[in-house]
Amino acid sequence: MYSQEYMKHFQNPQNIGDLDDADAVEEVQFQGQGCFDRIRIFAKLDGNKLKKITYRTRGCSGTIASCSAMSTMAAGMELDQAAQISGDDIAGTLGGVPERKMHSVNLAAEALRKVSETLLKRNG
Amino acid sequence: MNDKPIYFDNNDTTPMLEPVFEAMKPYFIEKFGNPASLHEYGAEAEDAVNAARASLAEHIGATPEEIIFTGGATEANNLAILGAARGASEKKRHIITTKIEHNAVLNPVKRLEKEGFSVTYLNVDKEGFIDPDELKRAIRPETLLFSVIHGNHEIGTIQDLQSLGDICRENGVLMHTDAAQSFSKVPIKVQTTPVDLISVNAHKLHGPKGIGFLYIRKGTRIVKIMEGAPQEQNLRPGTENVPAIIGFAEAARIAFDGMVDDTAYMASLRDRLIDQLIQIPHTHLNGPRGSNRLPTNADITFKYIEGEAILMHLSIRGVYVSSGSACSSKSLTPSSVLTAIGLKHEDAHGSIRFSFSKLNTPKEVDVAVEKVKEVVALLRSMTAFIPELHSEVEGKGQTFYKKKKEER
Repeated sequence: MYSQEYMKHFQNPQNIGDLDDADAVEEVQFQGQGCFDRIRIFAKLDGNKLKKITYRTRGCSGTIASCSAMSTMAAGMELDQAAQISGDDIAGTLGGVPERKMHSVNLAAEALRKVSETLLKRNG
Repeated sequence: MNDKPIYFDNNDTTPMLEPVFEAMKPYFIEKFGNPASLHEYGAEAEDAVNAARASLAEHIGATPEEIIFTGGATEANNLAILGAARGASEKKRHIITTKIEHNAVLNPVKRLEKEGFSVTYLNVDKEGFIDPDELKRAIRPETLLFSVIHGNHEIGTIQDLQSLGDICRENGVLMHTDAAQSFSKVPIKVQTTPVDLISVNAHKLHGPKGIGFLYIRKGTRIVKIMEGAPQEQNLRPGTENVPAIIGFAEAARIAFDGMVDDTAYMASLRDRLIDQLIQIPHTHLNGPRGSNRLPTNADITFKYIEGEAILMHLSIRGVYVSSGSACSSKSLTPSSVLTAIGLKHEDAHGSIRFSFSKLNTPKEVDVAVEKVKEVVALLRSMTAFIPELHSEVEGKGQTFYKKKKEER
């Protein structure tokens, strides 16, 4: 049903947890009907690059796997690059996701965009 | 992981029993005849189908003529509801059902609603029971039919068909029940229970998939909903699925022979699981406890985490269950049964159904409980949105939750 990569990230999510010295913390919640997936994202900067992304989530397997994939993709990226990562990009890293899990990859992308934009705005 | 998965999804489907399979086998190759054929092969198949029909009828105290074989309980529900509506007079254009029905009832009813029938959806209380007084109030002179699920497929609530049926009878309203989950678990005798139409299938009782029946009380007007040859008293066209019918009868024979002991055993497994799982903090049972609950069913909400993630982690650990969460469906809407008993959508998403058969064991229950505890703790450690653990404070111009104390 799901790719090996998806199951790997779901079973062993990378970078999960708080980041005590985070430069920014943001939250996103799924805005459609019914779903209650929610992500809090923590970002640590190194100059204009993201040094580390961590997160906490209440979510389904798709959201957990997507956050994990997103956190590994974003590390070392320029902020403006990170803000451009899309749900499709995350789905690609996960080896593809079924249509019903697109809300998860999109939510993880939204979390990364939100925290990146906050930092971009702050850094002027 | 155990060598063999722990299968706690028996309200979804059950494994077929070996004797059932053995009973079916001859009807695939040696005794392959069509019951409608006039030669010996046909007569042989017809005799077998009639014997199966008589045997199945006896379990509910019906006559063989009152049993119409269908392709399962969904088709039986469609035949009951659409067939009753199509056969009714123009004055009878109101149907009553409930908010906790299976889609196999809700969707045929919704189709009739689109065609101009008016429909009343009865509320249920927090354990899933219908208030007979609400049924009484809903009945109008134009009410044709009341359709209610006997044993609920998600929360296990068993409705009192006697009192509901008495109300229908006093008011000249037909009563249909979807007994897919309760057949062979909760006795129904049509001589005493005032119900006119009963839908049943085989695969919930260790029989084959794709076979069921509709009991139609003699004198009840039902019109066929599919065109074809005049099989099944001209109510369900198509050549009878002979092997499946034989398997259905054998599965039911075994189930009814062991009904008293098996239902007590399954209820003990159910209660063993519930008693242990509700000890987990922020966890509650959905539906009633005791004899008004299907012996096969336990449905539990684990707050603050997502049922689909619980299900997936349990599956990885060899425990197979189902979830009221909609995160595995396209609609993302949670179970309407759980919201009908008052669960917040968010909590409905954290619900897991564990369902048992007589093939399960107490040891499986204990192993599954440990796995559930492990998975719930794991998923709760990933979230930061548990009000009891995380307090909301202001920080850096935005509202966020800060860790209040060590998580479990």
